[in-house]
Amino acid sequence: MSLLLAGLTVLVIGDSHLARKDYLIDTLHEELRNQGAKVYSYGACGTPSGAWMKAVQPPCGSAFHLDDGKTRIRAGEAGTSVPLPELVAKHHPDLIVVVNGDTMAAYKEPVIPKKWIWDQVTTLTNGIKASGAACVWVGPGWGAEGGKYGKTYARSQQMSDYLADIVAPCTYISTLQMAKPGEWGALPGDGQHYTNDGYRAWGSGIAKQILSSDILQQIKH
Amino acid sequence: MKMNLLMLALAAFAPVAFAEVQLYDTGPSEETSYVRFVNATDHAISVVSAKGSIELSDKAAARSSKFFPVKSGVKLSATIQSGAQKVGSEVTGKPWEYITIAILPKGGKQMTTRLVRETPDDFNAMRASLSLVNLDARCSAAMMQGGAKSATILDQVHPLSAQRRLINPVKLLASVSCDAETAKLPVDLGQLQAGKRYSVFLMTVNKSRQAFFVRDGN
Repeated sequence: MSLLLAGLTVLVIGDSHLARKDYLIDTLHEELRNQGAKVYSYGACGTPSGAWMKAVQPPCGSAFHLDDGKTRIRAGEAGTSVPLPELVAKHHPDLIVVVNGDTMAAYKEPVIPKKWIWDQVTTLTNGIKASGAACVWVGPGWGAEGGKYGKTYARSQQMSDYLADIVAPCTYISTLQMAKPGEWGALPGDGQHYTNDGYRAWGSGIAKQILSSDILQQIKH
Repeated sequence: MKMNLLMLALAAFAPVAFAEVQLYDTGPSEETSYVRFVNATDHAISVVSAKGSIELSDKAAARSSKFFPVKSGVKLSATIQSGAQKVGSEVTGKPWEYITIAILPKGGKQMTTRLVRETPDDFNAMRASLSLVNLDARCSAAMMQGGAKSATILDQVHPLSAQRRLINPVKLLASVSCDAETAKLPVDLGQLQAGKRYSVFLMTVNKSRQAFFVRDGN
């Protein structure tokens, strides 16, 4: 239990890493709950950041996990996402945690689309600013090179460095610093998503970073 | 029974269970370019394209349009008009390229167009991006200075080109000069905002050099 996190309401939003059972929607969610926070987690698979400002039907489904409830997975129309302003009005978060990077890194393209990423990220950070909540932004992990998304360590590093420059006012949390390349087991033939052990390590790493960052000191209890 | 035993055996050697995610794109579905028009003549002009028209005056920031997003790789055609004078312009943008179409005088009331292209990669939420666009063909090296100590922000900006750099989001009174001349044109940009982008233009109209700024919107 953390004195700084206990009693706070945390809203976690993200991409595919929060859209399957045993992914961060369970591991990070429980890590934060174990520290005494009320936690509401939502995943919209395959969506870039800007999509969180409107209702979209994610290309590979969605999920939600409301505090002490069970994780629910949705597909097709039933998986239509809830825009951030509605989530904020519903849960009144003190802290918003964004987990998003891989869906914008364009791993198969020779050049990273910085302008497009900028537009996606600032669309969401402007919405977060308007909410008045504090926020942290979690970038992509190493995964494993190759796989169906074409992930590479070099592009993961480039994406992480770039997000660090553009996610303000959110505090950036680098996933790359939590493990060595290839250390977490990426799914074979996938490269971008992890085994359950990998998601446990990632969820634990994010929670530790949130607890050690200055951001919790700035939130009024 | 045999089948059940076989299934148990397979299950024992099965890899760690995981939920596979259906494949999705990790990038934009299409690439965009951005085009703006800047009037460097001594009269108002109209820019007419298949999608509509805009008016650009001959007064400071109203000389410049915003950046219009266009599909990259697709030729954009526009006609610039002023009274009976007309000149055509065609441009094809590369992915994420920002193109400034400058409309310049060409003797009498005639006009010509020149392109200034940049593909910025300096997006930053904590700093401001400031560029100097030299639209003065007779200024071989434009310079911008600013701050209490008149520090050089950008220099050696050649005709019909632009340079850009990140600076802290301060209140900025800049000056623009040309070819080491002592005459400096003041440009008061006010309080710069983090994450925003600005262009300072230098041009000569009717033998008079002028400078102004716009915020790069799109």
